[in-house]
Formats: sequence, C-alpha cells, structure tokens
Amino acid sequence: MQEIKLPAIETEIRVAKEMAAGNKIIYTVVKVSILKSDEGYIMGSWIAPLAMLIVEPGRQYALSITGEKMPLEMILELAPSLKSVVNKARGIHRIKVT
Amino acid sequence: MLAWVEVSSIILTTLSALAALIFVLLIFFLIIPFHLDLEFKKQGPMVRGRYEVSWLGFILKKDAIESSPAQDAITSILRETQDEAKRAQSDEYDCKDEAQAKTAQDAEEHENAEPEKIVEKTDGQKTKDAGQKIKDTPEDDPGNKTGKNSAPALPFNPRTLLDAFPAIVRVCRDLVKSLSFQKLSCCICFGLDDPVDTAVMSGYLWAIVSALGLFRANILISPSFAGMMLEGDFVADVRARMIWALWALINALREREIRKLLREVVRS
Repeated sequence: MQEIKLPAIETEIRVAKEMAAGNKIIYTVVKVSILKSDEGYIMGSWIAPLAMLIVEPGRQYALSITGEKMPLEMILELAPSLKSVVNKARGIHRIKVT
Repeated sequence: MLAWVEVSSIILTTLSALAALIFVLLIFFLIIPFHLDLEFKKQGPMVRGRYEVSWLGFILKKDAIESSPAQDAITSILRETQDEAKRAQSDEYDCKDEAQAKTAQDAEEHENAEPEKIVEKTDGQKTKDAGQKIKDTPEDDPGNKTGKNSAPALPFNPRTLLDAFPAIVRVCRDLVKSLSFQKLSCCICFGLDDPVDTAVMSGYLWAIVSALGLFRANILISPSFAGMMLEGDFVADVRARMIWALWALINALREREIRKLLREVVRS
C-alpha cells in the first residue's frame, strides 16, 4: 500500500516594502507560509503580518500587530535585515551634545 | 452564334470551377487546423525559445529566439551602474541632512539656550525638514511627472469600453474555444521585490489558470519570496481552427457596443 504523505509547510520571515505615511516610514514584518507537496511543488501560500517597525525623524519603535508595544530588539531579532534601517535612521538623527 | 454560346459556356464553367475551387480552399482553410508549436525557456539571464506555425504539414513560419549573453551582461552592468549612482545620490542626501542638522544644532547652541530646549528645537526643525524631504521627493520633479506620467489620450471613450466589456469577454471566450491545446506545460518560478506583491501576483496567476480551466494541465506556478526573479519554461502545442475564430469575429461585429467602440477608434 502506498504511503500517504502530508504536505509540508515552510515558514519564512520577510520584510515587506516600506510604506511612507507623512513623515513616518513603516516596515512590516510578515510571516510567509508555503504549502509544499511531497514532490516539492508549491500548492499554496499565505502571508500574515507579525509586527511593524516605525521610523520617525528622531525615533524608531516597534509595534506588534496586536497593537502592543514591543522592544526594538525583539523586532530586530525577528528580522535582522531591519538592523541596517534602524542604524541608518539613528545615524541621521544623532545629536551630539557637547 | 453557336460558337459564341459555346465560348461563353466554357468561360462560365471555368469561372464557376474557379469559384468552387476557391470556396473549397476557403473551407479547407477554415476547417483544417493550424498548428502552433511554442517553446520558451528562461534560466538565469539566458532566454531561449522557438516557434513554428504549420498547416497541412507545411511549415509556414519558423523561428528561434535566443538572447545573447553579451547583451545580458551589458544590461546587468548598466543596471549595477544605475544602482550605484542611486546609492551615491541617496548617501549624498543623507550627508546633506546630517550637515544641516549639525549646523542648525551648532547655531542654536550659540544662542545660550537651555540644552533640553535646544534638543527640542533641533528635533522640531528636523521633523520639519524630514517632512519636507518626504513631501519634496515626489514633488521634486513635477515637470517630469507631468511630462512622463501624462496619460496618453485614449482613442475611445472609457465609458464605451466599459459598455463593450461584457461583449469583449464573450468574444474572447469564443476565440479561446477556437484553440485546442494538444500539449501544454508551464513551469514558472517568479518573485517580486516585495513578498506581499509576490503573494498577490501568485494569487492572480492561480486564479487565471483556474478560470481558464487549465488546472488539469501541467502548470506549475511557484512564487519565490527571496527577491526579484523570473525563471521557467513554457511548452505549448496549439491547434487553432479558423472557422471558430471567424465565427467569433462575426459575432463580435454583430454586437452594437463593439461596433460603437470600433467606430470611435477608427474616427480618432
């Protein structure tokens, strides 16, 4: 009897394209799930937002999609590619106090 | 007199035989299907393909398409150069911002104000600047925008197109009926620069495949969320009967909305 195999689900964390709203830039971290058959063919995929990184002039903060505030470190751990965005934003708005 | 009658009857017979021959050929042309053999493959920068149109076993047109690697290399170099130029420009803007912020901060520090207020002021100024920058970037080239994005005048009224849309769909359905796929295999792996756009696009493609009733065929559409890419191959062996295409065209011309649309296009 042939063995029936269940399709596998592969999950990836990706950062969606940034959105500009006024002087804020929003980066959405999404979870991409891909349903793959036994032969490796993609049968379906779906995307769920997880969190947002909001970059404002002078400050950056993260929000989970449920609306709770989350530490910046947590979102950077989730999507390490955002580190460059945060560093760049911090670099531009750094103020030297002498 | 008798000779004249004989000559005229011979001419008439010849003409009618010629007309019958043309009619038979026309019937043949309409009933006997055309074969269209397509094969395209894209792997990395290389694009290969060929097509062949044949009728009654005779090849009417045949060609092969192959992208030259040299051309692709040039294109990729050009793209890289453009990207570098863009990066340099954005870095320049960033440096300018930093310099502006520093000068503003220095100027305010010399005004003997409290440190907290200074920070607030600079922040406020920066906020303004950043706001302006974001606003300005799309407004930077309004002339170009109007020049580039000015929509070309349509040769017809959009309302007419909307009215004719159901009729156009019917015509397309009739045209699709005239095609019969003997062999169809399509395997595409694509990705856009945004994973969300990739997912939406793959949804559209799967919906189209399902709507066309091609889900049984060997069609594989794989989205790649890793970045911009397009790879795959497409093989099709299509038979097209011109009689159904002609029927679809006649039906199209019978539709009032399509006639109106065509008239508007011709007049413009």
